[in-house]
Amino acid sequence: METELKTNGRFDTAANALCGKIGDCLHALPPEVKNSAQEIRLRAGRPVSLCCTGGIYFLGRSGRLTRCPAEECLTATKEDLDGSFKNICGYSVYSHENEIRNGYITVYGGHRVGICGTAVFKDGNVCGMKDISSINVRVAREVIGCADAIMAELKSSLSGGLLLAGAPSSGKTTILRDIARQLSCGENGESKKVTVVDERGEIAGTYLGVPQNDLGPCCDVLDGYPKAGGIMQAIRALSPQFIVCDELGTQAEASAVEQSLNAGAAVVASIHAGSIEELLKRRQAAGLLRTGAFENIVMLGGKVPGTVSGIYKTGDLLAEDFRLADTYSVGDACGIYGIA
Amino acid sequence: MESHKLALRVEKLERFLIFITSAGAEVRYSAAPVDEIVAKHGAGLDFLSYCIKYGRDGSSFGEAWISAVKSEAENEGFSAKDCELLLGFGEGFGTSDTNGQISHCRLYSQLAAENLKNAKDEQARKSRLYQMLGIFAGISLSLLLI
Repeated sequence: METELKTNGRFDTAANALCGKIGDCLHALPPEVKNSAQEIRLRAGRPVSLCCTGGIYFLGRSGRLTRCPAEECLTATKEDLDGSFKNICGYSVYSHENEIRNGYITVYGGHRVGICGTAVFKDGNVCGMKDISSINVRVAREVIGCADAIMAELKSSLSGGLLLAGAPSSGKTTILRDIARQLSCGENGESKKVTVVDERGEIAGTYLGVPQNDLGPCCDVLDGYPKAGGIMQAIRALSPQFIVCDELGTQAEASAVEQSLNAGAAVVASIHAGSIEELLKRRQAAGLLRTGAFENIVMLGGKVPGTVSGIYKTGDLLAEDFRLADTYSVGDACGIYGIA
Repeated sequence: MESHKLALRVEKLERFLIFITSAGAEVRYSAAPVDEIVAKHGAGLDFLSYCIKYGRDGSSFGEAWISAVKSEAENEGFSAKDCELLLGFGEGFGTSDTNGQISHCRLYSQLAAENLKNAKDEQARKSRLYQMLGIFAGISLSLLLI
């Protein structure tokens, strides 16, 4: 499995989720396209598209990419979507019921596949999905060393907690993964006990109990746990020095983060926010910052994923009435990471 | 020979019925994926072993099931009608939520039970016929010799 992942490459394992001619065309793409692809999108009756670092491209029948959705583009049929959906579920739809209800399934390699269709209700709640109309495969990348600049800048202050903020596809998860790896490997000092609460399976990419991504020798993975419950579980059972989790947002998660602070574990987490102003304007984000669990905020931005646009001290931001203060650029913040 | 084929069909249908029942229980209580269910409960049915093999060779579960039924099931002792039943079961196996799968297993277990009943009736009826034919042949041969 491990060898296959390395040989076929990340893009190919993501393309394996899609069946038939679409999968074949994607496998035949040139390596440079595969390397820059962030998402593969299928929509019923629409051309297959690839979201790359340079923008959106459409897949032609001959396997060539084009910028405009012309007639010669490869169109995803309903059968393609149904076949791909079954393939993504490993022909076991019933064993992915919860994930389908949440709208995504994580496949081998840690790629998250978003599913869109018609909601099925039971007792007023969404209990499933039917008539799949689009599929979005997010290609998970593992970029070893992409957090070097952040780690070098923050040094020991990381034990005060870190919140990574950025817009979607800005590289938050990839950087989180590398931070977890570096802490666990002890690349900047001693190895630390790290627990990854991987609700969506994107950080570790666990498949049949084995993390597909390198998270070092001292990392425990709570795969599929809801973040709030997972953080509490980690505190109770795993005595972590660092807890890493992706995309915090709810009140329950903020409370769990506060608990981890009392237990002496530092939290390294990410949150959606396009700018520091947006971050501070959001009630739940501001609530998270006020827990005191995050000494540092790293803002990601720029055209290339993984670009650090600024590092901030939470206390300063809160004290100066949300004015951007104590901002300093990371040494190399010009998009060298190439992260999806 | 013919009698043995009838007995084999009954035996295979019984095993398939056990497989469907086990699959339904696995779906309900462990939500195990279909390939795991087939590997765990498919012993004694050659076409299921081939299904696992084709899956390991790179076919999707659906393709592997169809190929295995088409290539192995009839040689194994299932009738053409049974093969249709097997194909129908494979077509829907794993493609819906837990309740859907439990209903699917229940439906096919009823259909397989019906086939099994027919196979047993046929076995009983034809076995008697073959026995009678044997006795008559023996008597005829004795008379000729006398």
